[in-house]
Amino acid sequence: MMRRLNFAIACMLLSVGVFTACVKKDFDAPADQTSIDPMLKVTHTIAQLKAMNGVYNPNTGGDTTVIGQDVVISGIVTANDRSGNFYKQLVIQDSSSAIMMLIDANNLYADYPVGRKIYVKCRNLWLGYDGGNPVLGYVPNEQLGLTSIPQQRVGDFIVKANIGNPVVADTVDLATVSSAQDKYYNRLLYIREAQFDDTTKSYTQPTSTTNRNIKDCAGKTLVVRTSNYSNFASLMLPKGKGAIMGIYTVYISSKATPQLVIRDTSDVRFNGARCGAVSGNILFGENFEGYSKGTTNIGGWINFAEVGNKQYAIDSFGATKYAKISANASGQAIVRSWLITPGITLTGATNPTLTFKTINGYDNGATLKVYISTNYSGSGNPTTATWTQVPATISTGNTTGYASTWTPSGNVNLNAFSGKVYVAFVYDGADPSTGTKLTTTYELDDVYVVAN
Amino acid sequence: MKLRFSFILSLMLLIVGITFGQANSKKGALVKGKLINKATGEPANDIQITIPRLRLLTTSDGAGEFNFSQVSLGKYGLVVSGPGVATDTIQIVVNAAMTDLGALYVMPNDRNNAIQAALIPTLLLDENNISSDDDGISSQNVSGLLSAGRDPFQNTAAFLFGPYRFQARGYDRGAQQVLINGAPMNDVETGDAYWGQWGGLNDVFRSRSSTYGLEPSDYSIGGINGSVFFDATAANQRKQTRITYSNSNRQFRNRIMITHNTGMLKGGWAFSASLSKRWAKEGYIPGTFMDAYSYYFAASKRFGNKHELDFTVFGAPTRRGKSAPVVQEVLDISSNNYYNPAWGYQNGEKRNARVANYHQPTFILNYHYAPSSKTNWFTSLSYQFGKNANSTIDWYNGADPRPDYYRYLPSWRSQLYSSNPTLAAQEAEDVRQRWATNPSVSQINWDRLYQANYSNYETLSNVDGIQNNNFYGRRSVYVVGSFVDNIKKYTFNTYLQHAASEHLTLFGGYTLLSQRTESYKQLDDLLGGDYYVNFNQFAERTYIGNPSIRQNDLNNPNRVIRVGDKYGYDYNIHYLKTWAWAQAMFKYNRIDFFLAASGGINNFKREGLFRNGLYANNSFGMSNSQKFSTYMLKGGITYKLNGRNYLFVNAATAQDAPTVDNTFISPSTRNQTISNPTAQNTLSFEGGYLLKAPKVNGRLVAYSTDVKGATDIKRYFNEDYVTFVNYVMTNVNSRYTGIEAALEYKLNPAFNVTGVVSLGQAFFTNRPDVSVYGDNDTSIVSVPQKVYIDNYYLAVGPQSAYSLSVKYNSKQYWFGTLSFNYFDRNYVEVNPGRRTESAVTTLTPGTAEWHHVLDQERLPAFFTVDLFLYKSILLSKSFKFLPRNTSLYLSLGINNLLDNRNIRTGGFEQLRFDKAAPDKFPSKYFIGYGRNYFINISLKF
Repeated sequence: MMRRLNFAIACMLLSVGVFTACVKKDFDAPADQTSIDPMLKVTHTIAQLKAMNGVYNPNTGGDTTVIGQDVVISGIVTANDRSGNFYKQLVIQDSSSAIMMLIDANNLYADYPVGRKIYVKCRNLWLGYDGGNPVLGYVPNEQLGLTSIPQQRVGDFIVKANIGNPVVADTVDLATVSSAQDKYYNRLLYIREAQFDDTTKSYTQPTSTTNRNIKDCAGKTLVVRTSNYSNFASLMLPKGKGAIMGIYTVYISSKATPQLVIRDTSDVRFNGARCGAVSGNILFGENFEGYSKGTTNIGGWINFAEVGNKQYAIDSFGATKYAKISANASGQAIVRSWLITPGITLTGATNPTLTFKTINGYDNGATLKVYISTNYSGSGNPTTATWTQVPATISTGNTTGYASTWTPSGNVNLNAFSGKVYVAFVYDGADPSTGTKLTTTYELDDVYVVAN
Repeated sequence: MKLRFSFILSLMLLIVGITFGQANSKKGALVKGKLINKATGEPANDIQITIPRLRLLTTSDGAGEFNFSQVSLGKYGLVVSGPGVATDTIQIVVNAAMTDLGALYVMPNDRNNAIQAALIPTLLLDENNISSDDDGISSQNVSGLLSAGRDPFQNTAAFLFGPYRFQARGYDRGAQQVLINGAPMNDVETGDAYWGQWGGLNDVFRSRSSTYGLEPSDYSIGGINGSVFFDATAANQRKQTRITYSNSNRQFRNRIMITHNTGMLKGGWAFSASLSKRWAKEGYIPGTFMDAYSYYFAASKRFGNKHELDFTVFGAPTRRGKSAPVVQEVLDISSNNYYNPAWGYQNGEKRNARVANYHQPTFILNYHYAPSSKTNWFTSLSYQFGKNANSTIDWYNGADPRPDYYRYLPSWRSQLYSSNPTLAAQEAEDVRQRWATNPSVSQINWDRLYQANYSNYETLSNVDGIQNNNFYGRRSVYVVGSFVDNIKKYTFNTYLQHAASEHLTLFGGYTLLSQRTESYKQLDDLLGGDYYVNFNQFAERTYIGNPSIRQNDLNNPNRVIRVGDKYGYDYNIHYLKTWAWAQAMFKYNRIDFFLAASGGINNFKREGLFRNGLYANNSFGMSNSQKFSTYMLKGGITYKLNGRNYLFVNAATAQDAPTVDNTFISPSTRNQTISNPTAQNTLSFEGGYLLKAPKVNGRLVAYSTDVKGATDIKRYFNEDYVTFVNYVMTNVNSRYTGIEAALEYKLNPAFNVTGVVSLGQAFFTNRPDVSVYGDNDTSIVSVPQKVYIDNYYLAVGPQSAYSLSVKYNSKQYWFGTLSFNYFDRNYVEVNPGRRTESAVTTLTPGTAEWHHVLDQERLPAFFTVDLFLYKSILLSKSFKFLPRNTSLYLSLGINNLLDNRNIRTGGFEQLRFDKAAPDKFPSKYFIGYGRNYFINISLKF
């Protein structure tokens, strides 16, 4: 009995030893290769590579060339499919030039993040064009476009190097690139100043790739082209003005249309005031976009008809809303109307400046003048307060119609005032049944008080 | 319903009629007895008892009881033999029409082993614990039939047919009730019993009794496919120490098991302990591995001879690498029918992404009260808890990492160049070459996944919903995550057996089962990244720019997910299931019959722990309680033509609740149920002829079972909606019908021949209704339509199976069995979406394409040869210093001796279906092992 039990206990103890024999459960993580540059020998710049192909011929559908020699280029990834705005495309550039690679795979960003250096062993790849835009891809299809590099072949051609390299954009003005500039094709551009033309829309229509125009203050334009599959497609275009980055590509049919393709919305830094608006520390700003057309009830403004019962009203032209006043057809012998801002506190502000813009129409002598008060009560009849006229440029002289462009007021310095001030736009007109009519129409927009 | 009751009623009348019709028959006597294991004092089940002079044979049941009918009065030698008992002849006297022999004692002897007992250790209990894979197919078990009794048909079905996905009668696993020490072990959700929970404990789970089909049992009402009862109490473990080493090339390579049982000690105590380890660096299928441990401890205490208390605890912490079925194209290009897409090299070592990791220990407390020899009262309380986790690679905005993804195959590459056949062929060949030569193409490329994660620096904004609370780091594109079910299960079960008279035994019981299952995804490995996100990338694509809809948990938006965190989904299911049952069994000389009934309530509800962004108002918190009543009525009659020839017929009707998965449209995301969840109904008949004689033992049985009103929800990526959908099929009817035949013939004391045939038909019998609900898009709800699958076969393994075995029994304590098996009529599982009107609108009826889309694939028939050898040696006879009865047991099993490596044991049509290109998502197949072996060496003392 005891012998049997002892033996059993011995076996149990032995088994504990066997049981606890280590069975490996965790795997070593593979070494992080993201900071390793294999330092392949580069034989060509991207510019030299592109030069191996003929120029684009829109009549034949392009020109394609297979690379039959051991050409090795290197470049930094400047764009990929992370946001979905590029699809099966990778854009790389070196100091000489840039090219778009066509790869038949999704989620390229995971292997080729922006800033990764890659080497491309180009033998057996093809140079071609996609709608005129230079690309590096695989064998041509019937339309003489290139097919994409098959996913499993990618590793034959692309050798990954380190990540986190600086991604350098070429800084340009919109004017430089608003007509097609082939030296910039596929390059990452930093355009210093632009704004979306029509900010009431989203980046794309729901079901198709969409072009939206950007414009600089001089009116030069460029297409921003966005895929409806991008993850920001339904976002509204930003309203401000500023810098924008993106890959500069081209689409050539009857003419060459340059286009900018952003990587994601962080490329669009339109945070400043739009063209014509002022910049600085905005103490007060009004663009009248928030009011419905026809209303005379304009937010915190005082809309006061002193004589003649005529008030300012919101109107619109195109996408823009503004406040409008005219004595025309009022039948009033005297029209005197005030539009007064809410109180604006200048205390502590350095060099406060008033700006606004106007358009006049059918000018026959009615006037719009600007006054400042520091003792207006903020409501009711303004005539009991003290008002000081300030000089500003007002649109004049359009006797047979409306001005085609807005007239900036110029900077109206408000250094003479302090504390809480009110700005009044005072219209003086007349529409008597007999006698001289003074019925000029004024449109007022973008009223800003800014400080340094 | 009414029909069913009247059916049962008429059956009862029939029984009563027959009973009284033969009550006065004096043709012979009914002889009853009970076999007791002399070593343990416990009933000895599964022992063959013969009366050679009368050429009668029978087998003891779970309570050790047996009976012979129509025995002429006189003196006889009663021969007992069977697994683990010494063959013995007991003299009996039959002197009354009802002769009760009382308790007869049998001596344990392992040397005389039946094939079945010898085979048990060769089976890997958890071969069946394969959870449903990504494509929604659950595979069939091998050992579910381990419950096979002495019946030659059940033996063959279990040991020879089982490895090839044969399912007895085509039933699923839930049709068999499994109890351990009285505690119900069937999963409360799926109905399946997960044998892996006691895998590796073969030594202590030997004692069991079982019923097949609609046979009555002594301990429960059973399922449509009967029941199995394990007695794993310490009191029932024979005093011995056993050390076993096994070697195999199946799922594990090595196994050691050590068991020690004290037997019943003075003072009424018995203790038993068993430990085992199973492991394989790589199993039969490349990339699979196993690392499993098991433990078992039990204590019993008897108080006098009327009370016994038992405590039992067991568990089997197991980790193993899985394989996955693939399409034919992949088998072709990998030139390996055991190609496994689940692994890849990581730093030169094979790493499997699909790892099953489970440990659900069970604690059982038993009380057995036997106030008299006529009455037994058993009560059990059990508690089980623990996790069952199945890992997989998860990814967020990354290319599919699975090497066998359809776009990575030659067929996809070549169709890209369909206008240029030369190029198409060249490109397809390129893929083939890479598959043949480059494991980073043909297997998971772990290094690429790590490198992608290493380089993906990203800012997660507004972490935890706090504005401008940003987290910067490497956001893992790829991770390894697990689908986890974490259970807490309590059961109470009590039942009574009472011999009311010499002809009538009454049974009754009550079961209460309460379980809470928390299901969630858990992050296991960031694969080199710093964090993961809890976003639904599919919803994100559907609702571009909406920052809340993509949140898997709106209550914790933009959470930084790290290792161990829950993500994806998280919910509890609360179950409360209870039923009571009663059974009356009548035994007469010419006739036996029984009636049984149960009734119960099945209650469950979902409790969302995440507030899903898509279903913000319907995902968090408690759902409505779903309540179903369940019942079963069962009856049967056995008519004994004489002591050797039996005719029987059994019938049952049952109502069962639908599962949670088939009630909630998408339990992982929301509380919404299908519009009208209904219970399903089953009506089952079986009847046949049994021949029980010492030289010839056989059966011929016909059965038919109808299941009506079932619900089946399939979840997959739908090409028509271009998103994941919940495909809800309701009113699904099916029938399982067929014939089972077996004949075992003893040529002489040495040779024994067994022939077995199973011919079944399992098929759909109507056109179910289907509704489609989007999973990542709240707008998709289809109009109901019909699925045209009437008369299509269910995928339940080979529906024709034949076997012929020859067994040689040597007097030198060894035996060998050679078996020839043939399997046919195995059908792939059909995709209901292919059998709808909308799927075939572009096809002309009767054309080859039409047939190609609609016809059901029948897998090729196959033939196997299996060999089994067994030898026992009494060592203490030769080596006197050893303890008495020290024995060595050797066994060797070789399956598929001819090494057929193209055995299609099953398959299924992918649910993803492109009607414009029906072959884009072809069927996937399961391939049976080639030649495989199992060697077992066991030392007992």
